[in-house]
Amino acid sequence: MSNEKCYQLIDYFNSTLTDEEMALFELHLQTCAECQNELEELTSLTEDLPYLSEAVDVPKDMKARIFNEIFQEEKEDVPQHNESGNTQQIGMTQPNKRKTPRFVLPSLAAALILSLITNAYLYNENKENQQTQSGIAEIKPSSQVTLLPVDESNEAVAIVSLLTTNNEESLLLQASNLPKLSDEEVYQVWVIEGDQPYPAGAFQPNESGQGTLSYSLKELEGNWDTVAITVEKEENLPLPDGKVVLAGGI
Amino acid sequence: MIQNDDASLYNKAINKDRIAFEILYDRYEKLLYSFAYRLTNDASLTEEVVQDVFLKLWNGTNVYDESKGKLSSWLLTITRNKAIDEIRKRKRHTHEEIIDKDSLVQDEDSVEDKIEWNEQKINIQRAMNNLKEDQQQIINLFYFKGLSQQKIANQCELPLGTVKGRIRIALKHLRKMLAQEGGTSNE
Repeated sequence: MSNEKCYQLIDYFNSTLTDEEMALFELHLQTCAECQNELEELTSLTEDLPYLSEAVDVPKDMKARIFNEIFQEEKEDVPQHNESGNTQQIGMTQPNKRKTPRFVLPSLAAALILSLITNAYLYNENKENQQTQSGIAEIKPSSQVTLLPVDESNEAVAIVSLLTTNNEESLLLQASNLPKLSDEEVYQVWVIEGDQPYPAGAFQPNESGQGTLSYSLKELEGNWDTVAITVEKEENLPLPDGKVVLAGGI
Repeated sequence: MIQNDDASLYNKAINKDRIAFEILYDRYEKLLYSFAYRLTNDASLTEEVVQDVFLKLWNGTNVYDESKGKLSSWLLTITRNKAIDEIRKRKRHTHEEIIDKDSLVQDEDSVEDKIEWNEQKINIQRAMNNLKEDQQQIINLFYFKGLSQQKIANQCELPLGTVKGRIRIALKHLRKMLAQEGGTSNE
C-alpha cells in the first residue's frame, strides 16, 4: 500500500536520493508491488524519449580515444619497445621470426591479454580465499607468451601467462579462433624445456572457438622455453602425439 | 532481428569478443552520443558518458538481461543514469538549473538528414508537440534534466505531492499521442 516511501519513486528513478535512501528504497521496492509496477511503467513510458535527441556529429577521433581508454589496461601489458627489457617479465615472441600473420592479431591479442589478466586475478583471488583470508595475492607474471599458429591456414591465437603466487607457478591460457575439434579430441598444452615437452593441461574450446585453461605447474619444474598446443585424442599423455596447432617461445 | 543480433553480439562482447564489441559500438555510438549530448549539453562530458557506458558493457560492470527488454533501451538507460549523475556533480560547483525553452519544442522538420532514428524522432516529436506546454516541461525536467521531485515542484510551482502524478499523466498522454497513428493527430 501507499506509504511515505512510495513518494520517493521519482527520486529513486532519477537517483537524486542519498545512497542510504536509495538502498532503503530498494528494500521497500522488493515488497511493494505498486512501486514495482510504477517503476516498470515509468521505464516503459520513457523508453522512446531518447529518440527525441537531435542527431549530433560524433567527434571523429572519439572512437579511437574511447577504445584506447577501454583497452588501455591491455596495452600496458603489451611490451613497449622503449621500455626496459631487463627482466623476463614479458616476452612476446613470434616463432620463426615470421611476419605478424594478420592485422587483427594485435588487437585480438590485446583483448586476450586483458581478459587473461582478469582471469588471473580471479584465479588468484579464489586460491587466496581458499587458503587464507589475508587479502589479495600479489600476482607476479613471470612470463607471458603469445602463441601463434604453426600453420598459416588457421587464425587461432592464444596468450599464455606463467604466474607465480606464493612460490607456486601456474599457467593461464586464453585462446581464440581455435579450429573446431571432434568430440573425442582435446587441445593439449605443453610446456617445453629444450627438447622435452611436459603436459600442462588440456581443454576443449567453446562453440565460438574460445578456450581457457588454468593449470598448476607445481608438480613440474623446468626452465621453460616454449609453450605449444597440440590436438590430442587423450588428455595429458606423456608425450605429444597429435599435430602442433599453436606455439610460442618464452 | 536486430534485437536478436544485439543480444548475441552482447553475449560475445562480454566474453571479450572484441569484434562483436566493436560492432555494437559502431551501431550505438551516434545514438548514445546524441542522447548524452542532449542531456548534458557539453561535448567533453558527453564523451565521458559514452566511454563509461561502453566500458561498463565491456567489463560487465552492468549486466544486460535480455528478458527485460531491448539492448538499445538498456544502453540508453545507463547513458541517462551516468549523464544525469555527471550533470549533478558539476552542478554542485555552479548554481541553479536553467530552463532551456529551446529544448522543449523543436521544429519537427528541422532534421532532414537521415539519421537512424529519424522516423522515431519525428513521431515522438509530433506527439510531444501535441502535449500542453506544462506537460512538455514536466517531462523535460523529470526525464532530460533528471531533477528531484522537490526541484520539479519548485520550477513548475506545484505542490510536492502532486509531482509524481503529473509526470505519469504527462507520460501516459504522450504514449497515447504516440499510439495514435504515429502521433499525427491534432488535438
